[in-house]
Amino acid sequence: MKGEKWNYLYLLPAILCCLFVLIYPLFYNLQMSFREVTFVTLTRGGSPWVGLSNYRSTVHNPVFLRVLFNTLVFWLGSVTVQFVLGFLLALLFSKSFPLNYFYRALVLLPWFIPLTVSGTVFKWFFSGETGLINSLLLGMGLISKPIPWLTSPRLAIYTATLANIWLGIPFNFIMLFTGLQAIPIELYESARVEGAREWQLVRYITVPLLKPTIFLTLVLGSIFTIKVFDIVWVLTGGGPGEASHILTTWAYSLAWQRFRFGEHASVIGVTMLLISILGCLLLFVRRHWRAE
Amino acid sequence: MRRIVVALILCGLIGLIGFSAASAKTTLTFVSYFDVSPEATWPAAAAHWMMADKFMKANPDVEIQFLFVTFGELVPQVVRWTMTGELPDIVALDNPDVLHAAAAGVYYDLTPLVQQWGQWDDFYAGVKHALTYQDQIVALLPGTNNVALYYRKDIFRQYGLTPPRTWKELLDVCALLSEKLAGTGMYPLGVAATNTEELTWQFEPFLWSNGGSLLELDKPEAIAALELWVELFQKGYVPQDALTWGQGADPFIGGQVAMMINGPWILPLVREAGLEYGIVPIPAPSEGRKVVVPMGGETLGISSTIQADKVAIAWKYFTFFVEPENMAEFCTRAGYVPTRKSALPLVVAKDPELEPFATQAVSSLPRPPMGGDKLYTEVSAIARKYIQLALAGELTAKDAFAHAASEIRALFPTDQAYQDAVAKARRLLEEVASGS
Repeated sequence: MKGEKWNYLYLLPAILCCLFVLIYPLFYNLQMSFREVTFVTLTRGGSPWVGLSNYRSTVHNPVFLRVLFNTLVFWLGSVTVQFVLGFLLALLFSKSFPLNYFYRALVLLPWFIPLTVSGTVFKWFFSGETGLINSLLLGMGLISKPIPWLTSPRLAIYTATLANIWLGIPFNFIMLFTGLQAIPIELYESARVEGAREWQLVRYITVPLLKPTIFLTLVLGSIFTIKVFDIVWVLTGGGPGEASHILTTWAYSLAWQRFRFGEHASVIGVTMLLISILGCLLLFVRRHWRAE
Repeated sequence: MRRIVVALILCGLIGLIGFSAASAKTTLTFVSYFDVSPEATWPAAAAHWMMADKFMKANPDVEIQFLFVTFGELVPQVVRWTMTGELPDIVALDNPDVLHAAAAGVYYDLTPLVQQWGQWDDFYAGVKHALTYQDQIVALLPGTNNVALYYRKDIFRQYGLTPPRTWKELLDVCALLSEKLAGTGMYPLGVAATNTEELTWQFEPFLWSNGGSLLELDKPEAIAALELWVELFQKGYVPQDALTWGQGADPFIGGQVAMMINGPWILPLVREAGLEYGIVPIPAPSEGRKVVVPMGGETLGISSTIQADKVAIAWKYFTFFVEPENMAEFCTRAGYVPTRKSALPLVVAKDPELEPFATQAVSSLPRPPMGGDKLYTEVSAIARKYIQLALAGELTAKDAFAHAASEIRALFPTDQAYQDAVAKARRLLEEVASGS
């Protein structure tokens, strides 16, 4: 009996931490989304309750559909390509070859470089006139005019997605690589003995046994991607002309450029709703997979 | 056991002594979007250091500590600090943000101190207007600036060109330069078209000189101004990259552009770079029309949460800063122009090249009253979003400003409030444009 009470006491610091760092800000933001909060009322108090009005203005905002589209492009583009590249790299590194450990560390480089540094480098990469990519393409004669990677309202979000792919590869690589290590070698050996080819090994042994890891990687990867803010903000600032905003950057600009904190909170609310729907969908898919 | 107690007591005593020794000096924390330090190379930052250093030498018991926040983040950061009660003692906001910040309770009321000081009337009308919130004086403006046209004298001489004075001349010069400079990597003109206040600020001279208003962007005068910029971008006279440029000196100094719209704050850097340059006022819409520019410059304000015993020393720093001689020294070091009549001849005498900026400044307009006062920040954000879309070719100038105008109208709570703001902006513009 005494032992159990002590258990709860040990949990207390973690619970308090969660409460203050997670639960309280969540509820603060949620209640802010139902109020009209401006620069003045934020610091002086007295924000009036306006019910669903913020959500209505968000959904009716002409930028909203564009933002949803951008977020979709960003999410799908990032997650799928990151996953494929991470998977291929994981397969590659499970073989042994000279300097395997060295190259493996290089794959993790995007995680180690501070985002301000990688963001600045990407900005230079994609710069219109003096950027590395345009200089290469122009030099090779593949294009005749520099491509406006970051300054074209249509292209900007795809450019940001490209940069984010690079940033997300380490996560996918580590998850899948670790998962691969857990598959017993004997399975491969016995399949090889029976004459299976390399791609058959991947298709019939690796992928089915890796299913839980794949599922987890995709889910976590999706959640992390939808929450991404910094790389898009540093590269495009949501521009030009708000054409490359995703949900997170749009919410930020509503708060700190337009000082409409209530609407900002409603965009966050919409984001959380979308993530929850995504989570439910994925759980549903998983149940299907299990049933197979 | 006794040894431990003695050690603890000694530590406590040392701590107390250290604490009281530290508090013998008064520290004033100063936040701005300049990276102020003894090694600063950006002229305005170096100028701030020069003033602080001079003051600290004359007042050895005061230490001024500088905090740096980037331009786009200063106002958000100040809002966050106001919420947590952690504002630095002195806040140097860009002048169009002052009234908004005053409404949010950022500032300490300076009115009684200013009245006692008695030098308020030496400041220009527009300046006084920009610093007064509901009859309270909330900040001082130690220097101002605006924009003009820098151009490369050597390149103009090479092709036999004269600096443009009207929009038509600007387009003609650009067309010729575009042809002659093709393949060299140099563009005819550079502007700051990034998604911050800098874009609205660079666009305003063209808008206002043509009789346009931020609150009536769907009128022909405003659309014509945007069409000029759109033409400059579409014809390739301005590089597409300008959509990410701020008002730094690099494009001009680095030889990426032959002309650039920029302010006096880069003058020290341009001189250092050893270029052959000239400065002319912004081209007017047509011959004989007056150029109306927005008022720039960062303010000095005392925060509302400052400790009561520090107010006197902070105010002492302010009055020291805006002394005519000190203001003149600050302006020439920073590349700014003065905000009070008695400092004007001192500055022009020290640095005659600041003259175009100094004269433009006398009749420059503060931005908030031209864009709905408190709503100016949002009006500016909407305007520049659509300006960028038009410059990037997504929308025509007419459509872009039609959208912008309706979004801006929707910001006002009542139609009467909107009409009042429109009338106010028109009145101010007429006052200044008629050359009074």
